Amino acid sequence: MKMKKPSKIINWNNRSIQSKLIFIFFIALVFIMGVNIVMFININTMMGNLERIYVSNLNLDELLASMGDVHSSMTEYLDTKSSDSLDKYYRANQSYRGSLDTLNTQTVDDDMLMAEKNIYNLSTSYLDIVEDTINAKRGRDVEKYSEYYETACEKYNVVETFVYSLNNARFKANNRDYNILLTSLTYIETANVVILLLAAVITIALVSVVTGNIIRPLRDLSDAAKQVSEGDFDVELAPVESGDEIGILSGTFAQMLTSIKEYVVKLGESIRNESALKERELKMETQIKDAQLKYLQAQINPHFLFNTLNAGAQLAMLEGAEKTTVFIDNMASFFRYNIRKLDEDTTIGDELRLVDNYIYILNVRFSGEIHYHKNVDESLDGVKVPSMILQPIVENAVNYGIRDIDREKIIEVSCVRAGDHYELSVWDNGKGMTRERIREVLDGSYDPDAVASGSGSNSNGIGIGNVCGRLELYFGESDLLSIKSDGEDAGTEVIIRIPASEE
Amino acid sequence: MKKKDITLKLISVFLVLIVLLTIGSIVLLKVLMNGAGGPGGTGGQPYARHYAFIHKGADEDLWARIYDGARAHGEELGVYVEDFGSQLTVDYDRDELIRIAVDASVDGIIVDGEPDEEMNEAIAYATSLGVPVVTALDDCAESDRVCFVGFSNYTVGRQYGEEILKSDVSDGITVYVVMDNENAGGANLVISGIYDEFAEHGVADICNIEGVYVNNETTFTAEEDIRDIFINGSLPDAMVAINSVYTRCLFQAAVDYNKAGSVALYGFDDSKDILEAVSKNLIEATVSVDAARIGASAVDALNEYADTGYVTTYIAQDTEVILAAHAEELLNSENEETE
Repeated sequence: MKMKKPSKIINWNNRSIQSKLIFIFFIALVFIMGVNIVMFININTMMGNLERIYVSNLNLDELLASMGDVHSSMTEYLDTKSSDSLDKYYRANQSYRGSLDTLNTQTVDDDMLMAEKNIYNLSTSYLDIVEDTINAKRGRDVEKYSEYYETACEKYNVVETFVYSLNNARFKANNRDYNILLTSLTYIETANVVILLLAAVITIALVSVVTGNIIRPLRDLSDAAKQVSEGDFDVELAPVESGDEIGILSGTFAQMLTSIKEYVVKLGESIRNESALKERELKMETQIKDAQLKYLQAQINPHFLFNTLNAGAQLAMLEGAEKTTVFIDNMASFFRYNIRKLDEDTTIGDELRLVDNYIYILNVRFSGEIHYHKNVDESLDGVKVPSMILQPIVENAVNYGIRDIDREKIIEVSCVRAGDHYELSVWDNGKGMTRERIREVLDGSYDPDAVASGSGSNSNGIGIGNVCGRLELYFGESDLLSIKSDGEDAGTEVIIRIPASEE
Repeated sequence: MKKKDITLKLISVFLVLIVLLTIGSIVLLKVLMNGAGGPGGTGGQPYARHYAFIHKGADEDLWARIYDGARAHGEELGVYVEDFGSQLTVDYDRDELIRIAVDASVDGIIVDGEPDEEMNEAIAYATSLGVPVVTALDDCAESDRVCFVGFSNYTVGRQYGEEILKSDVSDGITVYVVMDNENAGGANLVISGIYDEFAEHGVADICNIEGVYVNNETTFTAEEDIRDIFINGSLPDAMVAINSVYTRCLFQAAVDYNKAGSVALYGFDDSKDILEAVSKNLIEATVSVDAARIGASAVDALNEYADTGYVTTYIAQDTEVILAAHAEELLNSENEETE
């Protein structure tokens, strides 16, 4: 039993709007038509009753006419004794008795019906005496039929009086009934109008409520769409159970809304990521600018110097001074690299070549004191790295490591693959560093220029901190640079960890 | 889900309304039709017997009450009592109506009796055809009627006499008893009763009791004759009317001719206007009989005769003298019932 109710609801819900509306209007139409038919039947019944009201009077008139026929045919027979009049009498008698059969013969609580009973019995008595009269006439008993005739006439008059009286009473009652029925007809007409108006109001109310119920989700949907168009995606859309077009539309809209919300969240995340990236790039650019500024502060116009060095190399070549040519060429390469690569990505190979140039220049300057060794996995030459990360470390190794030692000055640069990253290492056998110094260098609190100013430092100005910062910005990871040293005169190793790219 | 429930409920309510409206309009029609009574009458409750109630046109109010009593009692016993001839367009005499009722096959007849030959013959005709006749209020003692239901005129005369004697009669008084030819027998018994009452009190010899005849053969003449007494004749000390019509005529004439108080009036019946006249002392006293009881007793008599073939020939009803104070009480109780 319980299963039936939901199925009905589902059936109703799943109907299309068109079929729902057709159903509602069909019900309304049936209702109005039903009321009209009932009203029509009422009025018709009433009209039928109006027509029948005076039928009782007509019946009594017919009864009277029948009795008149009996009496006249009897009189005619008494006058003429013709078989024709006798035949007439019999027919009139039969007709009269037929009319009498329609009258009431029971004793009941109704004056008019009792009058009918009296008429019936008086008429029977009259017909008996008429029969006696006819029989006396046949027997030619003049005295008797004269006496009977007289009695018959008296009884005829009595019956006539009774019929007239009943007819009068009936006419009065019928008039009263006629007036009541006429009044009733007016009432019925008024009632019909009222009922029809009521029916119309009920129909309108029902249709408006039901169509309202059908359309309400559409209105909700419209409001929701307006809210969404104004940028408010936090719309609470009531669930629509119906399976009609509006139900489907509402469902789809709700789904679309969910998708839009998800898209907006993703978009926001993407924008945030992009902003972070831009911010990182800006920081990188700031670092580069900072490095460039320091470079410019530390160096004479490198373009002029570079051009001059090129001119010097060409002059040395014309004069056949080969060593001078190589020296100046290395110098030019060094400065070219500085100018061109500082704000660009570069490769490990280029960085190593810069170190080569730099060591060569230094060895010319310091008469080949620096023993430079390379342990390089050449397959890593193409790995992209920020520019100027190796040369400043080598420069630091020369300036603060091996410059002032009396023993053999060694610098080793290595580049190897180590698991999921590459390691660039600059090792020197110089003065080494305390743990305290290593910590100060790494967190940027150690200023080597201030310390080295007394000893005639000629650093190009890009410190370990700068390299650390740029590595972090470039790879998005921290702690990519580490320093190892076993202490005083134990040498120093600076290791740069380059995350291996998927490429 | 709820919305859909509401929709289904609405449709259900809608269908119920259709049915209610349909039934309502049909009921309305039926109610209106019942109000009209419908053509041809409504049928009615069946009765076992049909009695004809026949009376003369005079003293309609009293006879109407007797008839009402008979009809009401008849309904209780399954007898339809018809006010026979009252609706006819021709004014038949009582004896004619008896014959017509017999031809109409009634089971019994209650008639306002009249001691004349025609009435005797009519009652004989009815009896010969097995229709019993009971006379009420006025008797037809010489006829074949099976029973008379009424009161004793002699007793009523004694009651009048007793009331008249409450006034000063030591110097002798004259009393007129208004009577007509038709009921001369009854009126004479009234006079006898008054006389005997006077005789018992030893004033019969000094008082004069006369019967004053009024003509009631044609309509309205009785009233004119009564007024003639006030205009032409010498007025007596007291006047006695033996029916309600004469009573009304008497006190109206006394008022009109400013004789109220100068002549003591004694009436009959306890209709409202007579009671009012008694309460205002226009009439000294009135004698009343329980009219409804007379009608009911007549029906009982016919029933008893029909059931057993026998019935007592005289059923007497008590009469009561009503004075001013009692008249006022009766009027008050009547007013309360009306309200």
